[in-house]
Amino acid sequence: MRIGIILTPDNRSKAYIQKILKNNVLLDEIIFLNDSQKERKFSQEIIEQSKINGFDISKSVLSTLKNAKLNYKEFPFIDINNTELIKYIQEKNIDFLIFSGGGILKQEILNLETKFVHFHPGIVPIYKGSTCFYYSIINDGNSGVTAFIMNEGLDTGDILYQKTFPKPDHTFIDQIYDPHIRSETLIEVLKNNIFAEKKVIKQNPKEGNTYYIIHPVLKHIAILNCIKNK
Amino acid sequence: MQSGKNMIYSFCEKDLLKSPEKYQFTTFEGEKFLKSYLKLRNSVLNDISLKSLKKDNLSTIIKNLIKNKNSINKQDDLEELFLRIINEKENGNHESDNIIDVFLKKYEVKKRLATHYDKNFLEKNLDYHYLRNYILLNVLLMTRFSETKDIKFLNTMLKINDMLISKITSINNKIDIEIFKNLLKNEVKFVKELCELKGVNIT
Repeated sequence: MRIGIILTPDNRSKAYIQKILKNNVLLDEIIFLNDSQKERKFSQEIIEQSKINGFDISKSVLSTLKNAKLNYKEFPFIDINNTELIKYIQEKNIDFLIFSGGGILKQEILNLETKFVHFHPGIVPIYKGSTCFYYSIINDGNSGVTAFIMNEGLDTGDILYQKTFPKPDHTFIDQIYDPHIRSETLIEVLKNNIFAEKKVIKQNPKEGNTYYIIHPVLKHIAILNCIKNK
Repeated sequence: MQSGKNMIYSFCEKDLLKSPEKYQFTTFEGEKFLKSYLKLRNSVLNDISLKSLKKDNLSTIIKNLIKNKNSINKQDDLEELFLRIINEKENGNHESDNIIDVFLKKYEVKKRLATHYDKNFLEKNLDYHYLRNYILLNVLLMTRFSETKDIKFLNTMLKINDMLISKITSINNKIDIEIFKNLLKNEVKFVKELCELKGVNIT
């Protein structure tokens, strides 16, 4: 079985690749979609918090790949449906590709033999859609991640694995907590050989809730609730 | 209405119908953000109260609106549809809750509502400027939040109220003003209650 990952130059991919290296997980294929945008600078406070959560947000994906001397294929765009990318994936005979961004998968790429696996920051079907961790923190005091095989629906794919996490005790939910919980779940899936088990739970697409981008008032309530005892 | 550089809650400063706000990756600014939100909402409520003369409750206002609405049954008219659903729910019929979900999604995705839709809820025109429809959708969202405490309804309600505040000078009809005043009061009440429940200081 061949397992690969598609990385993009964002915090989620930073957490993915750094934790993969830290945990000595071997992947058969690394694809890096890189539009060479300027790297964002982060405050010392955010950097320290990211290190507490197992990755360094100040280290770019590219520098991590180069410093670890990893073999990877780089494309100068961030578009998951690009024909050049699709052709490459087809040629590489990859069974599972871990998705980290690059757009909504269209039918052409979904029709490939390769299964795309998304680590969604919400326990589906209850929490589908966007910014689910904020809603989950407000409703339940925790959040979770679901690994599922992507299909044409929104967060309706077959479930491979789910894990819940306590709410954070810091304010950097978008930048650090989100990539942290996804990457922790990714490492568990890889180390426990979940792909090889081939056990999935099918979803009923009509079940559960779809959430939309959280309004900043509710976002503030969620974050302030996280740090109220600090 | 207060505005300006010192105002942290700045989401209502541009015309949100013309230039919709996506609310992506908004900055965390601490308790002062919530205080600023509350200050703005209260300021708007004060301004509206000056224009408002009626003391009727929301239920009476809506009933009068339904009664005075042109009695021709226009199947594709969104205002008619929303009024019908409001009336149904008042009478204990909740069969159209799924339609509320349809229009919640439409607003979240497009941030605009047309005035007419076909039976599959596809837009029949590009007239997005009829503010009453947004006000009535928010009445439905307010009702659904009261029934379920599902914060997805409060989430969209906040966004629609932001847009309506950004268009406040265009809300001149007395009925719309009354309903909007009621919406804002309830929104603030919901937010305060949620803050108290979650141990967050907003006052």
